[in-house]
Amino acid sequence: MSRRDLASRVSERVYWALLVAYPKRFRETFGPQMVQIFRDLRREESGRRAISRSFRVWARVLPDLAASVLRERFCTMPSKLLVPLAIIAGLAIALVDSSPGWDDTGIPAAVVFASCSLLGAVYPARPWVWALLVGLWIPALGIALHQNYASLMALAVALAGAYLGTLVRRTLRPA
Amino acid sequence: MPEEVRDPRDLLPLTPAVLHILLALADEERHGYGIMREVEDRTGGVMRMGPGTLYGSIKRMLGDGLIEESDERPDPELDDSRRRYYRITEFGRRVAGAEAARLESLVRSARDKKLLRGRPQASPEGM
Repeated sequence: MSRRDLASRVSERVYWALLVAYPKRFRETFGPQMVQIFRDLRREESGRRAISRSFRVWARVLPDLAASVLRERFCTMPSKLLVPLAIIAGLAIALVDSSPGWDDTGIPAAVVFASCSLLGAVYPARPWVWALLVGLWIPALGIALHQNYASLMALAVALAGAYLGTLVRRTLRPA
Repeated sequence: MPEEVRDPRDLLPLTPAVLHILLALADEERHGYGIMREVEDRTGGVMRMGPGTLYGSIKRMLGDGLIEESDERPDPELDDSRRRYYRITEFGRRVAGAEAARLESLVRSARDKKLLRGRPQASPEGM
């Protein structure tokens, strides 16, 4: 194999690896075709010196890759309206839980669990996003204010709730 | 919803990438790289799409019923048979036509307000 072929193959592998940044379904559907285009673009520049060719191809695909990854990721994100609501709910629960007069951890945990279950059932595509948006604040405040590392359990509760909601939604989904 | 009852204007305005892809497919089926080349050649290199933008647009256009994947595959001796070809749908033609009419009206307004120099070219019949 010539050095030129080797360089082409390595470039293709690197591009293929970068496609992992796209959502899985998009990558599975269009990834092979995108690599084919990458190959075509390299062929287009075949009259140039190796360094110049690589630079021109990467200069074209990298900014496009960054912009389109953001677009595709944003498109598959949960409802834009529910994201701030989930953050506000998580913060409110955390503030109540960390207030000096409050000593019942069961109620905040139940509210986190119920909120995440509901969100996971409504938008089952990304349960972990809901768990983070709602459940991150209790450990964040707990550790920052009281060095309470046990409050990390809230994240586990949030994850359990979100994935349970997703599971219920998928189980009950009509055929 | 059946394409006949969908209003093409619901999808307007189109993004530049979507309009260019529809124009590229208006006269023949093409694969992704063929679309990129046609757009680049037609616009004199002004519009250069990357693979991510191209397939992101194609994904949405397939979802909106503007284009469809063609079943036909090229002769393996002439082209890579793994390439996927796309063609414009009837609804896609109507949407492209509606967008062209919208842009035409916009250009007319710009001309009326003296923002655009020059006159439209006269037709061969002198109309």
